[in-house]
Amino acid sequence: MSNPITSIKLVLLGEAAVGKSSIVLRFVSNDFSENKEPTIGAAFLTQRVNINDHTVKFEIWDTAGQERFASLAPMYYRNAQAALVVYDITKPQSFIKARHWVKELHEQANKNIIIALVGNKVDILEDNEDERKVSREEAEKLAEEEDLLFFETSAKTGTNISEVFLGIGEKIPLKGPEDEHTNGGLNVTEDQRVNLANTANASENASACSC
Amino acid sequence: MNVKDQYLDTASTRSFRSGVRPSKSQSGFNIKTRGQPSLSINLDNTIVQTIIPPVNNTLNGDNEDNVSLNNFPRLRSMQSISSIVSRRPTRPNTVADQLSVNTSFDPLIEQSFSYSNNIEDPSTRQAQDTAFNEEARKDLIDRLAQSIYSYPASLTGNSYGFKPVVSNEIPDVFINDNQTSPDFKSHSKNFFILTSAGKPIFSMFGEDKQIVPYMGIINTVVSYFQINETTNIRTIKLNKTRQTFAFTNKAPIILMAYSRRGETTNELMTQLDLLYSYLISSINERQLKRLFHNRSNFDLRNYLEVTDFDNLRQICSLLSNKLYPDFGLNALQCFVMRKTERARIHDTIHNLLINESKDIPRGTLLYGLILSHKRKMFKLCAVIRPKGHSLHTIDLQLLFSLITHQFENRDGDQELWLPICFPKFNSNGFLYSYIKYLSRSHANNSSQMEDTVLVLISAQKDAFYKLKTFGDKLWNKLQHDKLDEYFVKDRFKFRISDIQAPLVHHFMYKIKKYVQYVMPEIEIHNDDATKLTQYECKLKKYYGHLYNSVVDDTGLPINKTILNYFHWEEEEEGEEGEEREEGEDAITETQRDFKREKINMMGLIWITPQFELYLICNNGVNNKEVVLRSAKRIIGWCKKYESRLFIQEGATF
Repeated sequence: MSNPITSIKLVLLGEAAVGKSSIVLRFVSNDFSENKEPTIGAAFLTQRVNINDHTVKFEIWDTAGQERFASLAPMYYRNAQAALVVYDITKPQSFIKARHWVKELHEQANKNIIIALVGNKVDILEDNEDERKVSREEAEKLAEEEDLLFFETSAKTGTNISEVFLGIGEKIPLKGPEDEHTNGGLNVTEDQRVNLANTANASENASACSC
Repeated sequence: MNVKDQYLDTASTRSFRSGVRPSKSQSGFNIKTRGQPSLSINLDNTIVQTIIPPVNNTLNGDNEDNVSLNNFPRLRSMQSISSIVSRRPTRPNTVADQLSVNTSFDPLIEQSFSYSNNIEDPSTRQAQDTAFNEEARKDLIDRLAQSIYSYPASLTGNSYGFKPVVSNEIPDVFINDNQTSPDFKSHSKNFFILTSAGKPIFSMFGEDKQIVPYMGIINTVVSYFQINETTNIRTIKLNKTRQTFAFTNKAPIILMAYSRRGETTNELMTQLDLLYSYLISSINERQLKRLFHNRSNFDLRNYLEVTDFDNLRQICSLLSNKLYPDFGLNALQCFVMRKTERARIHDTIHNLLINESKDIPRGTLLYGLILSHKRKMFKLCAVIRPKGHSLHTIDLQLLFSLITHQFENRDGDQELWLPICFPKFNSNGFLYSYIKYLSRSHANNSSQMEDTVLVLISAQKDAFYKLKTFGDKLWNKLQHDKLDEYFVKDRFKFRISDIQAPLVHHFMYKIKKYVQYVMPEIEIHNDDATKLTQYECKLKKYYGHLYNSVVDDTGLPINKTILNYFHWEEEEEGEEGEEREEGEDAITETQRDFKREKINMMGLIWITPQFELYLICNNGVNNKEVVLRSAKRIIGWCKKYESRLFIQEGATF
């Protein structure tokens, strides 16, 4: 018998060119390309991961960071159980934008949504530590205040990428064998997702920082 | 329609040799173009009409030549026919007799079809035009040998054996203007987009600091005409330097095209329209107006993104440097498959749409496409559309350019959800496209990838999961029934050599009611990208001249039915071409070609209410009867395979 499968709907948010699509590409295909084309609209991808005895299927919405698509964002995070808010550690502006996204998610998204704050592009620091423009402390502080997971990653080298998704997978209550039924295929309906979210235990929200 | 050998053209032997002296800056050699938009014939009652179109100053890319065209006497109908005859003293004097003369060419053609080199039939030779001397005949036979390979089986898909590739060494009679000098002014073509306040948005070439002053000038020129003439300026032409500036004022956006390539104002205006349409596809007109409302100083560049600039650049390059018939003909190309195969695919789609109506309620899906994507060009495999509705080709081209861009260096497993405004559908609203790569395969014998893409379009912005469910089911079904094999590989691509149309180098055939066209596969040995670009540029210019020979100032064909030949010819006394400017290697290279082969190119354009045929012959062909016969064979071939070459109905719902 196959493992019970839990679907996690996850959305990536953040300013343009911080590396959202690269994080996804690293996670889904373990690949990286230097000059990625910016995303228009949004891209939908799936990836299955085994966590303990469970299979978690991530349904990922990789959204465009550009301002003119911002009005579409609610559509993607409305039913999401998890969100990655990504910023570029070398761009202070992107961190400000990240704060806005966190605020918006708390106000408008699902109450139980798990949010991970992700500072990307740490590989740049290997050559020159001065490139860092957003301090780790500042980000950790935000994460603590807003009850977020926090990671610093590099999609280029793969640093911490799978940890982000595993961290999220661990935070979301997985389906027990008794809940197991026919949602293994692609056709997971909206209803099932909503039910799943409702069964999530709100008290699970510990202020955890994996680092 | 009864197509008889009654297509005549007035200037068959009279050449315009008077005073054609292109300036040296134009080219290192002398080229004479004889576009003869002389005569058009009403096919139905064979009334000869004498509409001679107003000759545009940039018509043939040579102003002086146009002068001679303009001076050409306007012939009345019967005069024009007799004038042909009188210029051929060996021929009898009536139209009927002339037709009989035409038939005398038949033996030559028939024999060449039978792969025979022995055409020494004295009786027919006597009847030949005296100008048709021995040497020309030999030359003709050689050329025939190149293009008469015919594989009737090629369309049935089982002949992947040896197939000679027809030489694509048609000469380039045009200036090689693909300069890559860092100075943006050296480019022979450029596009500018700016706001009505004079702020730059985009330019094809040139850095910001270089172009900003020009933006000011463009803005001033446009404003001047608005204020003083309360009208919009369309074009500025400098005949001496062959420069054309075309303007489009779409307040709050101004667009300008600059060209030194002898393009007509009208061509440039339609190109600008495509660029503007692209802008509107990412920001619809309502948003645009809102952005500039009370903020006429708004910098639109802050709102557009890298993607937009990349796409604009991509479109500019398609317009400037590629053969881009999708745009030029305003039609789409279709993926060739058997009639029954396409019918099965469309039936499957149709049935699924009906059976799965609870997953995808009526009204969710607006339009659907299965596309084949290769070398940045798209072909239609299948169309799902509501009865009586279709999308404008411009809208689809915009969609294609977005898809190309989105899937470049991307993971094929993802599905996209794109908001896009279709300006010709509704310029004030967005539609949403679900896009998924279905499969990917290597094209035959090359490193080129062929991709199959599914596009489902909806007006509802949250319809993603519905469309995704439908798309997944559709793809599973197609795979299950093994129908996907029909379009994962281009089995039926054809070459010009597959059609028994001797002497034809390349053609494009469009059926108007389907807004689709067909042309032979463009192939370059070893897939050499630079050579391919050069070759496409060459074709593009030939076709451009052909088309411009039969359109009026507004860019519309001068008549419903037109048949016209177009001639490009190298002048005899080309000595001046020897003086070449230093550093222009490209021209030197072309000149070397000219020493090998004298340019004598002929093209044919045939427009009727049903179809359009554009045809370019091999170099050295000057026998119009043979060319016309080949043209008819092409039309016959396209008609015969119409249901393979074109999507006739699609899956309508």
